[in-house]
Amino acid sequence: MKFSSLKGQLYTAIQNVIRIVPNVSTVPIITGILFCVTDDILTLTATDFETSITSSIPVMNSEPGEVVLPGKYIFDIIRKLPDGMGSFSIDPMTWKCVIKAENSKFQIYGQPSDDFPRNPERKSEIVFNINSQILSDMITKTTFAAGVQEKRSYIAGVSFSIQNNKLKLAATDTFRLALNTETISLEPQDDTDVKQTDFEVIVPAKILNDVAKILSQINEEIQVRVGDGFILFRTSSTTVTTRLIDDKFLDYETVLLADPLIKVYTDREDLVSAAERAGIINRKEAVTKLSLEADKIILSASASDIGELYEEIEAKKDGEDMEIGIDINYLIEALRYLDAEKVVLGFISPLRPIFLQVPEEDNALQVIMPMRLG
Amino acid sequence: MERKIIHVDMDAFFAAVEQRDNPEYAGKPVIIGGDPTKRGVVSTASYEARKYGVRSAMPLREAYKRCPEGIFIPGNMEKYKEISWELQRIFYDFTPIVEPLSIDEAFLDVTGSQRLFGTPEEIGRRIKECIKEELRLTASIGIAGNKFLAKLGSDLEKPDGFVIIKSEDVEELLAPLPVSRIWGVGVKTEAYLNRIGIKTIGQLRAIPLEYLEKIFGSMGQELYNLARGIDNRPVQAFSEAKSIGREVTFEEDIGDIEKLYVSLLDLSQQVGRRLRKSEKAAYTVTVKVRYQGFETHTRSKTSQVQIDLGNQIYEVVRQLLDEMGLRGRRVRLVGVYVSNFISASAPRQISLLDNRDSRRRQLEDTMDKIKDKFGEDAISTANLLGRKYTRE
Repeated sequence: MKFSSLKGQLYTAIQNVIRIVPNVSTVPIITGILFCVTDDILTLTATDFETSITSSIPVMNSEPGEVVLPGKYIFDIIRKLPDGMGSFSIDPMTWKCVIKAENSKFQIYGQPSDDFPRNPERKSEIVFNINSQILSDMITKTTFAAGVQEKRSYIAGVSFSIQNNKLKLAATDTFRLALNTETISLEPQDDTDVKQTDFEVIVPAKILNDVAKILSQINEEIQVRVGDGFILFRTSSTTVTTRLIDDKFLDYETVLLADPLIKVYTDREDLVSAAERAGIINRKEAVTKLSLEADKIILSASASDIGELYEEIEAKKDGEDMEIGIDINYLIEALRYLDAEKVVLGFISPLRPIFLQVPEEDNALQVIMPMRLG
Repeated sequence: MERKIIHVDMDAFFAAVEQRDNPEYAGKPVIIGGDPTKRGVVSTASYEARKYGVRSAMPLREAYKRCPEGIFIPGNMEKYKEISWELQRIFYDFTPIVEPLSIDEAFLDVTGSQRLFGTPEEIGRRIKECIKEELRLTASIGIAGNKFLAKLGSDLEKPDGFVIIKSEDVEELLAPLPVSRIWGVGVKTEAYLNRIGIKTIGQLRAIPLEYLEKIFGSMGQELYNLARGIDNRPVQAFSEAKSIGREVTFEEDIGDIEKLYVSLLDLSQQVGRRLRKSEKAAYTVTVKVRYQGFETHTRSKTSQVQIDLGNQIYEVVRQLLDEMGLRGRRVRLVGVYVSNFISASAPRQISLLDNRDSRRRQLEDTMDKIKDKFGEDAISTANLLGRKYTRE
C-alpha cells in the first residue's frame, strides 16, 4: 500500500477524525486510525464505538491497501510535516509505514486492519439535505444549553426533530432551553426504506460540537440520515455516524405555549456587558434581580460577603412593571448565542419562564427559568 | 471524668480516592494538583509519590522533576466532598460531637459514647473498619484525652496508623518532639522559639510560666499547658446537624429490589418531611445499603438544584440504587440521608420541570399539614399503605 498527498489536505482529513480517537482504551486498536486506499482515494476512519468518523481525500501514485496507524503519533507527524507533497508507503509484512516529505523521513509501526471495528451501512428512514453553515450555526446555538452530568439522559443530548417541514434543534439542562428552527423539505427518495415521516431523536451534545466544527469549515449541501438508533452527517468528504440517546426529550412545546405578557426591547451588547458585571457578584445561591420599568431594566445583585451591583440599561417595555430573579450566567449565555444587535425579552410572571429572541425573527429562541427571590 | 477524643485523619486522601477509583493507579505515584507543566502546587501526593520526595504544597514543576513518572491529576473536588460527607456520616454513627477540621480530618468526642459503643479503642477500631469497608479507604487514628494529643497520635504511625496516647506516657513522648508538633504553634511562634534556643517540647517545658507569659502574653499559659500535654479546647461540634437521615434494618434480609424501592420511598418521604420541618433544603443525597454479612456501601449524588421534597429525594435515591445494583445479594439495612444544606428561604432556581414539582409540592405540603395536626400515621400515599415496618 502506498500513496502521496499534499500535507495540507491530509492534515484537514486527519483533523476531522482525530477528535474522537481515545488516548487509551480497553480495545487498543481504536486508539489508531484506519488508513484505507482504493482508486486514488484515501479514507481515514476513527471510532470510539459511540461515534465513527470517516474522511476521504484524493491521493496520487497509490497502491491499494489498509493499515491502522497509532492515532496520536500519526496526527502529530502529519501536523509537523513540511508543506508540500508527502509520500506514505506501508510494508504489508511488517506494517511498517515510511513517510517521506522533503528532507524528513519517518518510520512508524502500524497494525493490520482486520480487527478495526467497522460500521456496516445501515438502513436510513429519514434523509434530508441542509447547508453546512446553517446546520453548524444551529448546532452551536443549541448545544451549549445541554447539561453535562447525566451521560445517557436527554439532558446530555440535543433533540433533532422534523415536524411539518421544520427542522428543530433543542437542548436543555432543565433550567434553560435553546431552540433553533429551520425550514426544510423531506424530498421523496428512491430508496424504499426511507419513510420521510416526522420524527424526534436525541443526539449526544458532545459529538455535535465536533460535527459543528467539521461543518463550519465547509460551505456545501450536506446530507443527514437518521435510522434505527443512529444519525449520520455526510459532507462531500467526511461522514460522522453516532449513536442516539435512548430517552424521551423534555416536552418543550408546552413550555412555549405560554404567551409573554410583558415584552422588553433592548440592545444586546449593553445587556451582556451589564450582565457580565453582575456575574462578578452572582454566585451559587446569589441571585440577580431584574427590575422591569417603563424605559429601563435595572440589574441588581448583592452578596453579603462580596459586594453589590446596580446597573441601569435603556429599554422599551410593553406591559406592566415587574421584578424577577435570575441566575445571571444563564442570561449571559443565552444572549451570547442570540446573534443580533437588538433582543426582545418576554416575561409572564416572576416564577414563569423568560423568553429571549431577536425582534421580528422566530427561528431562534432561548428560554431561561427564573430564580425565586429569597 | 477525663475526656476521650479521637482524631481521624485520612491517609493521602485525594490521591487514595483516585487510586481506589482507578485501579490502574494502585501502587503508583499519584499526584493531585494538575498539569505539571503549568503553575500550581501539589495538593496531595500518594505515599508512592512521597518516596520520591514529593510533598503537599510543593510546586508541581518541582514535583515533576522529582517524579517524572508520576500520574498527575487535577483532582475532583466535588467527588472528594461527597466522600467527605459519607465520612462524616460514619462519625455521626458514633457520636454527635464531631468537629471537622478539613475535608479529610475530624475530631470526635466519644466520652459519652462508651456505654453504647464500648471503649474509645473499640470505637476507634470500628470507625477505621467502617472507613475501610464502606469507603475502601484508610485512615490514621489517634486517641487521647484531648485534641492536641489525639491529633499528635494520628500522625505518629501514618499511614493506616492507630495510636492511643495514655496520660502516663505523655511526658516521655512529647519531650523529644520539635515544638512545631504542638497543634497551635504556627510558623512564627516556632521561628521565635527556635531563635531563643527552644527546639523541643522538652525544652519548652523547662521554661517557667511567668517567663512564657512575659514573651507570649495571653498565649503563654496555653504554651505552658500544651508543653505538658494539657489541652482543654473542646471538640466544637456544629450546633446544627450536617446531615438528616433515616435508616431501617429489616427483620428479614430482602432480595427483591421492588420491596427496597418501597422502603426507600418511605424513608425519602420521612427525610423530606424532617428537612422541611427544619426549614432547610439540601443539595446532596446519600443512600446506604448494608448487605447480608455486613458489607456496606454508600453512594452520594449532589444535585444542581435544592431538594426538599420526599419525591425529589427518592428520585435520586432510586437512581443511585439502580447504579449500585443488588447483583443477587440480600439487603439487611437501607438508609437515606441528605446533606449540604441551605436555608429553605434562600433563592431557588426554578426548573422547566417545576410544573411537575409544584404539584408534588402541593401534595407534600398538604400531607405535612395533616400530619402536623393528626400525627405521622394520619395520611400516607397508597403505595406505602401497610408498610409501617420502616418506622423506627
